[in-house]
Amino acid sequence: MSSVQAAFAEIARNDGRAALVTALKGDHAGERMLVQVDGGTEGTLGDADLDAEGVAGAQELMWSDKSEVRGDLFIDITSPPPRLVIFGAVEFATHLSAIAKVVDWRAYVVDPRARFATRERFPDAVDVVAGWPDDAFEKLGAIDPATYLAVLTHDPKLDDAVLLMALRSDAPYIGAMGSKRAQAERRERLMGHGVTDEDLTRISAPVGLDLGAKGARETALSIMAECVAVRYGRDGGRLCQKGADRKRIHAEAG
Amino acid sequence: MKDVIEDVDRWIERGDKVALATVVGLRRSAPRPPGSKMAINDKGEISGMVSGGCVEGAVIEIADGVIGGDEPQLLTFGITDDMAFDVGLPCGGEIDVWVERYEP
Repeated sequence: MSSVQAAFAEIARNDGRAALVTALKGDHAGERMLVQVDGGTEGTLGDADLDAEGVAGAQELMWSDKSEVRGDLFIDITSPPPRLVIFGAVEFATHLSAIAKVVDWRAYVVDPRARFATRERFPDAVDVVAGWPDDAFEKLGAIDPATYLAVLTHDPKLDDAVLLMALRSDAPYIGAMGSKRAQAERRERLMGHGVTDEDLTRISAPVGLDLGAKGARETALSIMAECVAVRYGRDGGRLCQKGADRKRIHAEAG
Repeated sequence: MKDVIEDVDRWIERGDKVALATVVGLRRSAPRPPGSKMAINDKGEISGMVSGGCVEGAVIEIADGVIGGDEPQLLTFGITDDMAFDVGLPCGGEIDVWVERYEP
């Protein structure tokens, strides 16, 4: 019979997701409990209330990719790298999947046009799926809170299919490329499908951070940067500027 | 866990005793986020880091004790520590490190 630690290690080894809860203080210091994604547990902290506290904390942090202390408990999260599913086997997708790989995200490219959706064109993607979005998620597994979506197709039929599916999911990020006019038209079409204004605020369009990016490579960087900022709940400004604001506020207060 | 898992697997495979040190908390800025791990075996080998290199020496000493049967321990390192000049963090942060035996 292997330990709870070994079970956690096994999940980490297989790029799974789980929480290992350890009591750091008190009578039960050193006791451990594993919490699975589905809420199932293994082991015990030695006290029913403490176990309940551990499960609650674990479920709260499970998708945050952050390990944290809660009370006397340390909640250690292991998670696979986030997925970035890119729709549209276009040049942007080549660069975006390359940058994703560098920052240890898993990129996938999806396009129903089999001639474009080839492994050779996207060597840095984990997988390339020649199919429609529903085929793709059948193959890749459903959209979960760690699945980021970038819609780069410029093809209204395909764009709409992805976006309608994305808006019904837990995707934390739905980036959609397109000119101002294309966006206005997309908005009309989606509302025709019953999408609300509130739903539309989930779509990042124009896509990316405001880097002034020019060309496919820099634009890919700005999209990737936006994904990272969303992952950690940040806006993506300049850190030195943030420091300057603090100093100014401090000076004004003093 | 992933940062040290390959080495830990290898050590356990050949029968080493192993301790794990995990960053569990930090105040102000610190080099490694909570969850970062360092593994230590009974041959004195290490894998991974819990800081930028400044507190590892002290952690290893405690880990040796834990491997030898001591209770797990919660350590705090930082600029306010008595040992600031020895093991203080250059960034002025403070970290809590949990050191325990790894049971395969």
